[in-house]
Amino acid sequence: MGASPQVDADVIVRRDPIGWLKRGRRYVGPGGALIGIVIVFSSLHPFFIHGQNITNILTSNSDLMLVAAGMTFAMIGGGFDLSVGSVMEGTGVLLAGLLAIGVPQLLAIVIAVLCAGLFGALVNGFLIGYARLNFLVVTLGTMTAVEGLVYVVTNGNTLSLSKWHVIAAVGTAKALGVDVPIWFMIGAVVIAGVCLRFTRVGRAIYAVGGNREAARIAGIRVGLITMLTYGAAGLFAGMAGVVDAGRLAAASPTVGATINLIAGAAVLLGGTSFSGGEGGIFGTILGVLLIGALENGLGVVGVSDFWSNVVTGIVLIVAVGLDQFQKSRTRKRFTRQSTELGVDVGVGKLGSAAGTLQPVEAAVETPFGPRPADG
Amino acid sequence: MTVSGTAPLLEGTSHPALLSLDSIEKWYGGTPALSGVSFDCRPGEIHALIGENGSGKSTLLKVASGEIRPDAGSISVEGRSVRFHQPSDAIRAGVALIAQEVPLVASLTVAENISLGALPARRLVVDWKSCRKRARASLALLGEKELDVTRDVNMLTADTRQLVAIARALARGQRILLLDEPTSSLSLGQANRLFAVLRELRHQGIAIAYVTQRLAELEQIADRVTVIRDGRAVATMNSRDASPGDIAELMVGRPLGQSSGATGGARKDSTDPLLHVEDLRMPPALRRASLTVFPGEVVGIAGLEGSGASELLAALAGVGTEPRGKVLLRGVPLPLNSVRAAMARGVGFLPRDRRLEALVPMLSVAENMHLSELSSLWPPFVGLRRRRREATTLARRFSIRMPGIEAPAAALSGGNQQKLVMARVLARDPSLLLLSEPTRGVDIGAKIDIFRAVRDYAHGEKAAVVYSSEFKDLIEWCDRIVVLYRGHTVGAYVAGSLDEEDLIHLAGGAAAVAVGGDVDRGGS
Ligand SMILES: Nc1ncnc2c1ncn2[C@@H]1O[C@H](COP(=O)(O)OP(=O)(O)O)[C@@H](O)[C@H]1O
Ligand SMILES: [Mg+2]
Repeated sequence: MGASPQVDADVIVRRDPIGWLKRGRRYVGPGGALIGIVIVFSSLHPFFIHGQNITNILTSNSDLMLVAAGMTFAMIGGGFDLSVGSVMEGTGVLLAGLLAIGVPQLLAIVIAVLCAGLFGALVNGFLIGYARLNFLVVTLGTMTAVEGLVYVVTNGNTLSLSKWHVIAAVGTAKALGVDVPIWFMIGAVVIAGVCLRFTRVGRAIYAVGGNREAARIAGIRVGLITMLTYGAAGLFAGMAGVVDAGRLAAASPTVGATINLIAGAAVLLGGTSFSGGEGGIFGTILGVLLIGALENGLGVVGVSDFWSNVVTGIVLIVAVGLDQFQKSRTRKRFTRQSTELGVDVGVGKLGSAAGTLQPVEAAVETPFGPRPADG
Repeated sequence: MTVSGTAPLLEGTSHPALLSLDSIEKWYGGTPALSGVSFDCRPGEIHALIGENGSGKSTLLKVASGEIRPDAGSISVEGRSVRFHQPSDAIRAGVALIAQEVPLVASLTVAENISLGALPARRLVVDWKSCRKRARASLALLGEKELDVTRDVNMLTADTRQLVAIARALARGQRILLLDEPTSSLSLGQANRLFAVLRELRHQGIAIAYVTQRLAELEQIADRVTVIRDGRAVATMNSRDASPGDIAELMVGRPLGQSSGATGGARKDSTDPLLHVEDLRMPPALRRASLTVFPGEVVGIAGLEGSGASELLAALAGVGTEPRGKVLLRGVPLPLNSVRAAMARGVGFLPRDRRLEALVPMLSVAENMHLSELSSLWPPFVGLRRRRREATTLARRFSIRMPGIEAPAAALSGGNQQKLVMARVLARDPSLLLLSEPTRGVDIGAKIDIFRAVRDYAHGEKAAVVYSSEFKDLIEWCDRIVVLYRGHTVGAYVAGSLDEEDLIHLAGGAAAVAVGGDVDRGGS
C-alpha cells in the first residue's frame, strides 16, 4: 500500500464505538425473544431449564445448527441453498456405502463430508457463480435431483449403521461430559464465525452479497467466491448428515425433509437478511436456539408438535417484519439527511436478490403512482 | 435575437400556454437547484430547454410532472392553477414525463406497458383485445404501424422504447409531453426518427418541452429555446433568431479563459506514451475511439451523455462488455476482458456510479477501502489491526469526514463516499488512473479535494484520465482534453487553448462535420 507509515497512535488503538453499537443492535430482537421464551416456559414448567432439558435442546438441534451455519454463508452471499436437506441425506447414504465397501469409519466420515462440500461448490456454486443461473432454480434442481438419487439408492428404506461403533459414537457418546453432537455444533459455529469475520474469503462473501458489481470491479473473483460460499453450505450440510447418521445410527432418506427452510428461518431470525451482505453467525446461533427452545418448550408444556411449526412461522414473520420496519425507518432518515446522490441505501436490494427486478422496472413505481385495481 | 431577461413569455402569440410554470424554486439542502424559473409550453410547439449539466433541467421537468414539489412558484395547466402532490396528479392533468431512463416494465409486452395503470377490463378480467387495439392505435399516431405490440419491451431498442413511452402518453390522452435528453442514448438515425415523430405530434397540437445539451439539435427541432444556467432561465427566444454561438455563450454565462490549475502539457514529445488506444470499439456506445496518454499527464475526456466517454474508461479498466481494439500500456497490449488483469498491470479505476459499482453500503468504511485487497485470497486472514491502521491513514490523507472507520459506508455523504473510493484506488498505487465522473453529486469542497488529489498523483511515470460532464472542471484541471461525440473521438486539444464554449460546441457535434461528416456510419 502506498499509505505513509507514520500514523498518530491515538487513532489506531481506539475501537469505534458507533460501529460496535450498531452491530449489536441487530441482536436485540432475537436475543430478547430468546430470553422471553426462556422466562415464559421456565415459569410454566421448571423442567424447561433443567440441565437435562437444555442438553436435549442442544443435541436435538445440532443438525439444524450445522445446516444453518452453512446457510448463513449462502444468505450473506446474497443467495439461498434449498439443497442442504438433500445433501444431508445424500451424505448419510454415501457414508453407509463407504462403510459397506470397507472404508475405515473415520476416513469414511471425512470423505463423505468432503464430498458434500465439493458437491456444493462444484455443482451449486459453479452453476450459480460461473454459469450465472438463478440460485433458487439451481438449488431447487439439485435438491430434487439429489433427493431422487437418495431414493433410487435406498429404495426409500433406512439403512442401519448400528454395527459401526464410531458412527454411533458421533451421535451418542460424550466427550468431557458433553455430547459429541454438541461438540460438532460448537466446532462448526467457531469455524464458520472465524471464517466469516476474519478471513479474506469471508469478507469477500460479504462484499459479493452486498454489491456484486462493486466487488467485481474491485477485482474480487466473484465466481470463485460464490463457489466457496455454496461449498461451505454443502460442507456444513454434510457434517449435519454425519451427526444425524450417528444419532439415528442409520442413514435415513427423510432426515433432511424440511430442514432447508427451517435453517433459512433461523438465519433470518438471527438478523441476516435475504438481500445479502449483512448478518453473521452469532445471529444464527440465536435464531437456532430460538426455534429450538420454542419447539422444546411447547412440547414440555404439553402443546402438540404440530402447533410448534405454526408458532415458529408466526414468530418468524413478526421478527423479520419488525426488523424490516426498523430498517426502513433508518433508511428514511438517511435519505432525508443526505442532500446528495447515491446514499439511498439498499433500495431494490430484495429485487436483486431474487434476480428478477431490473432497473427499468424499479423505476416504474414513481412516475405512475398508485395503480387502480388491475387484474 | 431577442433576449428577454428572465421573463420567458414572448409577445405576439396566438395560443395560450397549455402548461406554464411560474417562478419555480427548488432547494436541495442549502443550495438552490432552481431559483425562480418560468417556463411555458404552447399547443403545437416544441419548446427546447438547454443548459449545461447540473443547471436544473431535469429538476424543472420533475417539478412539472409532480415527481418533486417545488418550494415556491406556481404551475398552471390550460390556464387553471394546479398543484401536483404526486406524479399521478400530473398524469391526470395531462402531463407526461419521458424521463432519461424510460420507465417501462421490461418484462411486460408493449401493449401492457401502453395501458399500464389503466388496463381495459370487463368485470375484473383484462380485455386483452382492446388493450392491443388501443396500443396499436396510439402507436399509429406516431407513424409506427409495424411494431408487434405483443412483444416484450426488453426486446426493443432504446428508441423504440421511447416511442412506446410516448404512445402511452397519447393513449392516456395526455397533451403535454416533457422529454428529458431523449437523444442521449440514441444513434443519429434513431434520433432523426424521433424528431420526425415529434414534428408530427406538434402538428397534432401537442405541447412539447424538449430538454437537451446538444446545440446542434435546436435548429432541427425547436420552435423556441430557453437557456437555463445555474437554476435560472437566462433567456427565451425563437430558435430561428438564435445562433449556436449566442446560445453557447448564454449557457456558460461568463467570460472564460482564466483557467488556473492546468500546467499546460508537461510532456515532451520524445517520451514514450504510457497509454496508446487505437480504434477502440464497444458497440453500441463506443464506436471508434483513439487517444494517447503520456506519463505525468492528466487527460480529460469530454463528452455528453451517450458520447461513449464512460464506456471508454470502463473498457480500459476491463469492465466493459466485449470491447475491441488496440490498447497498449507502456507498449505492451493490455487485455480488455479482465478487471484483474488490468489491475495487475497497474490500472486503477474509479467507476462512474459509486452506489452501484463502487461501494458495498452496509460494510464499514475500512472494509470498503480494503475491498480490492480481497482480490487475492492469500494470506487467508484479513489482518484487522493492519486494516484499521491503513484505513485510518487513508482517511487522514484524503480528509474523509465520517462517524468512524467502522461506520457503514452508507452513513457518509456523497463527497466523502467518493473520497473513500478514491482512497481505495490510489492506495494500490496504479500507474494509470482512470476516473469516471469523479465529482458527480459531490459538494464543491470535495470536488476540489478530488481534483487536487488527481493532479498531485499524475507525476513521474503516472498519469490520469478523467471523464467528467462538467467541462469547466476539465478545462481547469487537465493538461489535454479529448472530445468524444457519439462514440467517436473528435480530437485532442490542449486544455489551455479551449474555453467552455468550445467544448460545448465540440461535444455537441460541431466538429463532427469538419472532422469527417457522417460520424454515425454503421447506424444500428
Ligand atoms: N436529489 C437531489 N439531491 C440533491 N441535489 C440534487 C438532487 N437532484 C438534483 N440536485 C442538484 O440540482 C442541480 C440540478 O440538477 P439537474 O436538474 O439534474 O440538472 P440537469 O438535468 O440540468 O443536468 C444539480 O446541482 C444537482 O446536483
Ligand atoms: Mg438531467
